[in-house]
Amino acid sequence: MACGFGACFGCVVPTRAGYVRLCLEGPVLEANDLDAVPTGHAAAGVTP
Amino acid sequence: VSVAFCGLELAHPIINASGTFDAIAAERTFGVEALHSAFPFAAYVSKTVTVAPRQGNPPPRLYEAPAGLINSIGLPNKGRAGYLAEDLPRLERLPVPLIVNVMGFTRDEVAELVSAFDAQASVAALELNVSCPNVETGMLIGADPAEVAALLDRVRPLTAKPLVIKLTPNAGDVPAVARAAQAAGADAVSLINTLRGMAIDPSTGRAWHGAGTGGLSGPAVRAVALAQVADVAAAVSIPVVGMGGVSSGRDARDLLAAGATLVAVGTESFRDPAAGARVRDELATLTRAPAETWVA
Repeated sequence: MACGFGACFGCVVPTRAGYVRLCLEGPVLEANDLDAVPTGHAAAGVTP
Repeated sequence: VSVAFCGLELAHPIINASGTFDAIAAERTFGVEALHSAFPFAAYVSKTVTVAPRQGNPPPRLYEAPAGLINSIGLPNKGRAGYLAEDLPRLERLPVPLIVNVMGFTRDEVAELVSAFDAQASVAALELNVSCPNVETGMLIGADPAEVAALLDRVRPLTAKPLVIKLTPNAGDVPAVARAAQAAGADAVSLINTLRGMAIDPSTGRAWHGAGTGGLSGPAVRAVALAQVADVAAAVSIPVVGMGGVSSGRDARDLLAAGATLVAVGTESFRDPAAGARVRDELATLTRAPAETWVA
């Protein structure tokens, strides 16, 4: 995590709804919502 | 002391670098009133918008380097439609002009975004992120003067709003790209974007970042930014927005001395969310003194 207030998108975790920022949506998430196999990678690029 | 920039009258020369200050998240963290009544930046640059929504790159996305950060976020955003429906109505209430950063993987995509935001009265200016490949030609757009010129030839006629080209430092001749942008009608250039970098996960011997490589920012790149801003400012007559590792008023003053009209604070806002206001205030104290009295 770089910022802790939602700006850097560095702390994301994969959920059924896509990546969520743990600093904003967490730190506690519903276990059932977590996605063991991250989704959305097909749409993800490699641009920093 | 107000600053003129592309027809905008800004209260001071400090803005944010795209993607380093999420005003909507900051409203939630600090409160709308508190944020708006003491907004740190003279204009707000929003995170890159693409035509389609993007989830961004797989984690890990961040690596702490010596005096810097290697990020590989991958431009997560809601896409044009989501931005217009959900983000713009909130960002246009900020007390400063709004500059929307856009990126497309083809010239048609950039044209679509420029047209969409040209139609929005609350958008003061557009910043074009050219740190990506043109999927049709395979060229990193911002590394090639001809690609940048062709892109501007396509989109310049679509809007009278100021167009700022965000230059990549990962180019052989950055001033040549800046000159091409000016010749093709850009109103300003901004630099530097992150320097391409990599880290290795010691437990696997493979790339640390989920996407393989990332972009280096923070104080580690400050000297590179200063040199590139000086070179570009000497090469063009349009305004230059300087950024790269700014963490104090002196860093901002240095970029202004190198020829920048505005200075953006980026990675420092991750470490200190109040950095924008601090840099602004430190700069105001420093700039009361004439240049010949500056102490190194």
